[in-house]
Amino acid sequence: MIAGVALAAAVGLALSACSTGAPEAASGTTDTINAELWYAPATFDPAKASASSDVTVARLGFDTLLRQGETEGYVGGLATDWSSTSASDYTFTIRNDATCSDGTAITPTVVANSFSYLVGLDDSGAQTWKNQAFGSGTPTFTPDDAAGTLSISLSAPYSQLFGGLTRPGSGIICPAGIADPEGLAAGTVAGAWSGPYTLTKSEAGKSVQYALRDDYKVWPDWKNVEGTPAKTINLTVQADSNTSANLLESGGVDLARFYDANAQRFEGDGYSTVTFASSAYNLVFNQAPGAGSVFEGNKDLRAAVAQAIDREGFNSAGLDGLGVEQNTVSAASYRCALDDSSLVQKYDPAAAAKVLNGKTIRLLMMSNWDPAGDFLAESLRAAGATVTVSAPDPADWTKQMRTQPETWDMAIAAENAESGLIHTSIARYLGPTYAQGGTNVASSDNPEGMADYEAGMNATDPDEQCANFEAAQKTILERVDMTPLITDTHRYVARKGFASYVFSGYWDISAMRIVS
Amino acid sequence: MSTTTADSFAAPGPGTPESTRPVKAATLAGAWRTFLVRRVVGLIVNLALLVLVTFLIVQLIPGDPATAIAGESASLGQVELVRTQLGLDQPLPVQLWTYVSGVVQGDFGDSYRYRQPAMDIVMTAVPYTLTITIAAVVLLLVLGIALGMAIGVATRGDRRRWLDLSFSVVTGIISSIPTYVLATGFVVVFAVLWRVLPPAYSPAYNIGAAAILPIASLSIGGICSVARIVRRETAVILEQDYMRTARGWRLPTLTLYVKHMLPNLLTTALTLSGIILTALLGSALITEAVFAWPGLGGVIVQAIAVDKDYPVIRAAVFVIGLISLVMTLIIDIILGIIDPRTLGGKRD
Repeated sequence: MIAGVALAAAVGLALSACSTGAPEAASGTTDTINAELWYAPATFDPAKASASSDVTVARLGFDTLLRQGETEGYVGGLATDWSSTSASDYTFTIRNDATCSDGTAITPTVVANSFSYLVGLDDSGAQTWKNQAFGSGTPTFTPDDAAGTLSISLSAPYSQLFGGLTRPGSGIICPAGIADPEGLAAGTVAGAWSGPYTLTKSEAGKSVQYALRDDYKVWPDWKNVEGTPAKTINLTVQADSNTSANLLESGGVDLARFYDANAQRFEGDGYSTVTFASSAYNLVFNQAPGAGSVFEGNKDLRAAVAQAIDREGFNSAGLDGLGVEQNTVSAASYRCALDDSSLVQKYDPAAAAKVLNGKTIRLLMMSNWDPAGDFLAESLRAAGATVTVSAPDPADWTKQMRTQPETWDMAIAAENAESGLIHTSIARYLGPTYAQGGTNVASSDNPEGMADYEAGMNATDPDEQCANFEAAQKTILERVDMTPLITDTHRYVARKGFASYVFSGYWDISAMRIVS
Repeated sequence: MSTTTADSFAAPGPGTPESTRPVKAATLAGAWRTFLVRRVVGLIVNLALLVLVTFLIVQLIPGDPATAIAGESASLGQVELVRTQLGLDQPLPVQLWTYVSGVVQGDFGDSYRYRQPAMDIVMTAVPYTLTITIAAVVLLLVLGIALGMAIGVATRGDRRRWLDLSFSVVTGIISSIPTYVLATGFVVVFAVLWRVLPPAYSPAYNIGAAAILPIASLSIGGICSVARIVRRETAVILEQDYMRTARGWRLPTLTLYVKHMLPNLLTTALTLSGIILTALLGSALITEAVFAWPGLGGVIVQAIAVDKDYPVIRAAVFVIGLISLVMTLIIDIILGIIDPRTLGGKRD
């Protein structure tokens, strides 16, 4: 290999000076899509998926009961019908024509066994998916193969079950996979797959290759998806945006994800772009009792900080101006997200200076957010505050924010904005803290908001759910427990001949298509 | 510690009869044995130190692996679950013992992220890194020696001073440019502007074509460095008596330079290549990032910056250290074959 590549490289280097035209690109590979992942998948078991790349590839190999609707609501995945009689009782009708990659029929019992496997795992990733799909209580699954239905009852009400069952981590694992968990995680069980693709090649840390199943016929009923699915999908690890842009331009990849100004290199010229929310940037105020935060019990100071920050300036400094202003705890594309800018503090540096002058604030942020952090710190300094900035490694930042409230006053938090589940974002600012087993990173005491949140979690009617969740968001914004900044909007750019789709804010890798 | 007295040992001197004990003359074979024993012991000691130091250093990497692996939405309970599963809740001496006893059996542990043997992940990437690194070393040796010799011969005895000056300036500038800057420049010129070469690795491209720019980036600085040194050595050798004599005999050019001059240049060039190869391994990790080359660079960066994947970091550092040590040993052996004086020790 070494000699061959060296020889080829040496000859190529010599010839390159006199060669003309584009390099040998992916021309003619009309049944293949070459795309990228930022990181290599660590597991092919959807229930154990924790990193973003694990979650992305889980969608290729494992179908979920429901899928995000093209513009709103849900469409059927492996379920053709779904209903609830309360926030604790749900019934699904499972389609009768779905099969595993080894030909096994996907029956309600197969689905129930897959869910039982997920719920029974002693794994951090699985616990996240279990909580998103079935809430904090214990679910009971009752399959009826004759009727083709699966009933799910929950020990604790959880109104977001439908949304949770669109998530890739709740993908249905076929019996062969459940029988061989190690093989499932390694992607080597041929009959484990319920989705449209099976893994054909994996180089740990480098790349994966998926092949379209010949017998797969149960695509969701998408109305606006055009083109044909690729027979082969190559996903290589590539984290640098400039390199992605160069590869996309030269045909080295057919689709690429951008978070910065490189996306603007592909406006026109046959390129198509879809956008979706990736992260929600918020400013969190620490109100942990006795932790020494200047924001504990000081709403005026919290509001003043929010007034001192020009969100568009933050957008330009941190996100190349490609983000969009956010008006609540997460992205506007989330179901039940408030989108009322009147609840967010207006930019008013003069008013902010009256309160902030002479105050000392400890700002916590992640190490790779320097421009955004500098902008925030300077905004507060301009208003007369003394700001000390702490920018630890991402893992330390997470740990510090959750477990060491005595070390910070406010923090820049970027929360994943791809789950579509608003209740998880709301719970970051009310209810039990991390030390208490919850996720309230602000340690705020908001009983009114908590009541609204719980009402939303108990409601069956979607409108009622939204009304309650919106009321909870309103209390958070009025109390200024956090202030929303910017939604980091990412772009998937496809070169001519390829397309990808975003459904209700969710970029679906299984909907990548070849359109010519 | 022991001492000797004048009574017990008399040094031979003028008028002093030599000892009747026969002098034990060191042979070439003996020198080789001593050399190899010394180097193999050194290799083992170095590897042991590498294992130990790597274990201790990774503890200093900022960030909690359990938090990194559990993910941003994990509760504290989930983080602790991960910590227990990874064995990170054990005292450091226990972790060290587990690690060392595993390494002795060739087991560097399972990757925290990938949940498969760390060495497997590293060995998947090693061929890619070695491919561009060894190709670059071969290129820089061949081209650097050829260029240095050619310029040295052309400028012998202060001839063509303009060429000497131009050569020194150009190679000096190029060799001082950091590899990643060269790499970026190559991408801009050859991939973005001229579009004659792939900008990075992709399954859409032939791997040979995709390797051209990484290899060129790694080798060009080294070619210039080697050429500058070889050019200097050439000038010195050309002024030696045996070369002057060879020229006086009107030996053919090929015989003159290849047979009589090149072997003397190789000693220097090979010594240099060992140092350059080690340096190139470091440069390659950065160059790989520019070209999305699927070698060790990406593995190490992700293991350190994202996953805090201690087993992968340790395995990768061990493998890089091992490659460096073994390559240095091989080069020293070759040098010993070419010039036995480099074996060290005294021989009569």
